Amino acid sequence: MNGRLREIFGRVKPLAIGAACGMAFLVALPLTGVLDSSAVPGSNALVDWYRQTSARQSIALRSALTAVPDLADPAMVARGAGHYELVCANCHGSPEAAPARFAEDLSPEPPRLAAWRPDARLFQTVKYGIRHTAMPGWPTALRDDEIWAMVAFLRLLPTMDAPTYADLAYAGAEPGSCASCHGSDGQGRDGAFPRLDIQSPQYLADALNAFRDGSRQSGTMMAAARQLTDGEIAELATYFGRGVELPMGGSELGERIATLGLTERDVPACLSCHGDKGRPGYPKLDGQPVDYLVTQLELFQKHGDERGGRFAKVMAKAVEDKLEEGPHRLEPEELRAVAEYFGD
Amino acid sequence: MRGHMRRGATTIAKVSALLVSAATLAACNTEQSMLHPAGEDAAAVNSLFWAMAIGAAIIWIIVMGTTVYAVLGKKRPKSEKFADRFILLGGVAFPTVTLAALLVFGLALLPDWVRADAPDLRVHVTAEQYWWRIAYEQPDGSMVDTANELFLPQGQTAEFVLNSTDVIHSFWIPTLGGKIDVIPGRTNLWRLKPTEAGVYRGVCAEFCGPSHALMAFPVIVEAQADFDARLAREAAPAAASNDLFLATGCGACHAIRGTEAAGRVGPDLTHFASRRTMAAGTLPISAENLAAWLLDPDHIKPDVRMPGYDSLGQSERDALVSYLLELR
Repeated sequence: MNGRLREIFGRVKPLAIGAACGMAFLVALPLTGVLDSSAVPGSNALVDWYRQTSARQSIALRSALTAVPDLADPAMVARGAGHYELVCANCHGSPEAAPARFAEDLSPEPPRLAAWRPDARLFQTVKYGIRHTAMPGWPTALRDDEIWAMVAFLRLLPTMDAPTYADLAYAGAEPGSCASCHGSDGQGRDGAFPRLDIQSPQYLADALNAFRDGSRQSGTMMAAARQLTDGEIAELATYFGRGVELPMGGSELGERIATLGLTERDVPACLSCHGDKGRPGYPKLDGQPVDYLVTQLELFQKHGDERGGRFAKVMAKAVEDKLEEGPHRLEPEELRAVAEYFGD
Repeated sequence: MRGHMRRGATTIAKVSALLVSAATLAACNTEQSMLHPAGEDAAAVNSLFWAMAIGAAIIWIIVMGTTVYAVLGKKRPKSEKFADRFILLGGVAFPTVTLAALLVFGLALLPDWVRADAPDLRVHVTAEQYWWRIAYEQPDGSMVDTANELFLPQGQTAEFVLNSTDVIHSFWIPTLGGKIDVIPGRTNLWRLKPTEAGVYRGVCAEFCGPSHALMAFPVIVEAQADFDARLAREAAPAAASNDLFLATGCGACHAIRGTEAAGRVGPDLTHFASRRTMAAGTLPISAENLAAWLLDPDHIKPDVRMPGYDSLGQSERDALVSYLLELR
């Protein structure tokens, strides 16, 4: 018995020593300083190959099981285009314009996104970014809906001509401005972007502040609001917060939830806060795109007050249930009915 | 000699201190104790408890005595016939008779589940995580809504119509009588007849979630005239309406009768400030406690449905607190 053990040990010993040396080599490699970390393009082709291959393979592996939702909705494409123009085009360029000058100095240089890529890999890249490059991940982990909108746009980008792009990304307004997505008077655009003109200045200022300090979760709006000063926020809130009143109405179910709530499931009446007598800090919902309202309700339902916003705790207690499979306090058809009651 | 006396005095002091504290402890428990019955059911259960306790003590002494006698008595073995009889009588006949008697006594205490005779008062109690919705049925069939505080007329039979909206709770006022589960989707009836005036404590007696232990309610038993006056006060509309309360959407969940606030998700607050406790028996009502509650109710009562209002300014929360304290 003892002899047999010794025999096995004798056979394994060289392998074990080899493995230990290999590990020691891998640990020692960065310590030697041999790996080139300079950002001058082409300074070390081998290291570039090593890192780019690992990045590509990592994205392929991690996106292998991602389920791709329906991406045909033109509203998603428009939202993706708006964010692309505001943030991504600086480095990746657009059908209209070359990348900004600084992007040429990045290493590796950001690609022009002219080649087709699988949807799931686009999602993986946009959500998590790429290490050792200038590509950042999405600023919030809660908003996969925004990332899929970006994918819906990116899959059309390789074949998109400049006029189509301009129309989708800013529709005649100044590129990258608030109006490019939310309309010149804050009336929204193509049912893809929420209206601002129905809100009070107070609500818009609270929202912009929450986006700017990162407490309200939206990759797009966080990027937009971070550029704003206090003075600009006040000015924009007054300009867009026009308190426009729009009609609402919908199914009997939607009306019942809006006016009476679902008391048996502790869902209060929406209009107690979102009605005419609500605080100026509470958002108005009448005329908002239905898909926007559905998305926001789902965020509160799934993430509670992590969704962010000044009164997020109130909405979280009103609809949150965190039950993946249900039963939900607001079932999907009820959620849509109430969104359609308020929405346009 | 003096030292000895002093030691004796200290012992007496210690013993009397112990007795006093035991007596105080016992006094502490009267508002939620089956051993201090103030209702018919509780008195019956109390007598059963004492009959069983004393009977059990007597039987224990007999068994122990026999055991000690058998082990230490060093008596010669009795005849086989005696042993057979002893086992038959002491081991079969006696337990059968005693347990049968206990069963009869116990079964006689079970309430009649359905009774044809009308109760003097019908109260609808709905248990929700983690509070009690209470509605008094008036002779004309209308309801007087309140919450988290029960008041009952002395010497009258009250029938409780018990429902739950979420999980299984249990309705128990130990001082007045036994308990009954409150089950969602099912109406349970329960009758209690309080015999002595006083303030007692009712609780949820079935684990129902993180704040199960914070789901209690004061029970006030008083003379019929006082009860009638109190019910009339409860039925009256609220002292005042408040724009801040309405604009902030508090009325989405809370009703304040006589104002636009008509929510039915949370407790009715029409006469909130006249109650003895807030947050279902959790805290006494005070400006400090209310301010802490508005700021972060989850901290006081985990998993509560009420949202925190740290999003309001301090002055607005203070204004809401003073309004709530006006609701007498």
